[in-house]
Amino acid sequence: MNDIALVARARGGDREAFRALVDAHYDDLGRFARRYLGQREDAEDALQETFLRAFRSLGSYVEREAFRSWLFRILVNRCRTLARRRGRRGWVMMGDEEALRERPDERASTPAAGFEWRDALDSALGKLEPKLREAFLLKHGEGLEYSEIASLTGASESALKMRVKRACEQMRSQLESVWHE
Amino acid sequence: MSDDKNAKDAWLERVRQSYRETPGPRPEAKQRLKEALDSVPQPGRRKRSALRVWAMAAAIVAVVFAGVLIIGRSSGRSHSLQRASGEASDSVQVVRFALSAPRASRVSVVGDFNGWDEAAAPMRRQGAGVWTISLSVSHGRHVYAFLVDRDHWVSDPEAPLAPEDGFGVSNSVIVVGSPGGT
Repeated sequence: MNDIALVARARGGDREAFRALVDAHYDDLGRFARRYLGQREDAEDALQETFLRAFRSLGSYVEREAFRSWLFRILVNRCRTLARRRGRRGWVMMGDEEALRERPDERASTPAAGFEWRDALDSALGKLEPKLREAFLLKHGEGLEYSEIASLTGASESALKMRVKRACEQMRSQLESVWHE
Repeated sequence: MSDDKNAKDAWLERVRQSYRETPGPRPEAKQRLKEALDSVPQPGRRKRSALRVWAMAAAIVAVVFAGVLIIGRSSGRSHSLQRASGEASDSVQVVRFALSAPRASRVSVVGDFNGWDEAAAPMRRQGAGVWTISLSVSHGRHVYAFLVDRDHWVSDPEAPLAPEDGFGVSNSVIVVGSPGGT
């Protein structure tokens, strides 16, 4: 069953249909939230808020927009809010230590160079201004077109291109020493 | 293609690969979300008894915040679009939102009534740096916030805050409707 059919059933009170939509999109949205916010707990909070808000607001969803895009728009807003709140208590990026606690099996199998890269990538993303990180992840992480990103973020395409360009320059500068392998 | 371009593409490709391999959320977090869905009101369908509760709350809210949030009335003009059938779920009223933000260059109101779309309801600057907009909002309880200069989320200083849903996010609440409107 496709998203539109599931949305129709969810609007009619079928919560299992909405749970199916959660299953379909949870991991994709989680990937963005995790890279944007840096921490697993924050990402999971953003996801929970996003899906609960989406469920409450299903009546305002218009089918001419892909359901995934609609979810992403809500998620981007929730991530901005959480990032702003976290900004007051300091920025902490997911680092190797956290990643290893989550996936201890990787400790033995991942080459040291892999850890170095991931550490550098997390650090570089964490140093980007939120606007730049958001645009960079949507463009080069999710692979969205600028027109789609503009629709999600409310920024103009020209502004987004500039943000992605600046993000790339800063990221490349940060990662220069570890990406040659 | 130059060596520099090749190098740039290789760098970005590795970033993309790392992005694809980002550790996912924990399964228990997804399960918690699915369980939480049971406690969320069904979209677009509210029980009549619940409407009566909201209607009573609306009367209180209208009195307390009449100076800032004008529900269904603006300068004595009634904008109620409630239908004659009396079906509250089909009723909307005009709500005037206002925020004092003298230094802002752009303000919008964003909430569940417009799908949290930042571009859906840009406010207009009036005198003394007060930004306003009038929107048709369906009866019931709604959660919203102001977005200032596209980056700063601001709760309505004159409205109650929504329960935090356990996540500490402070949005504002408006209850649209009247005791006699159901």
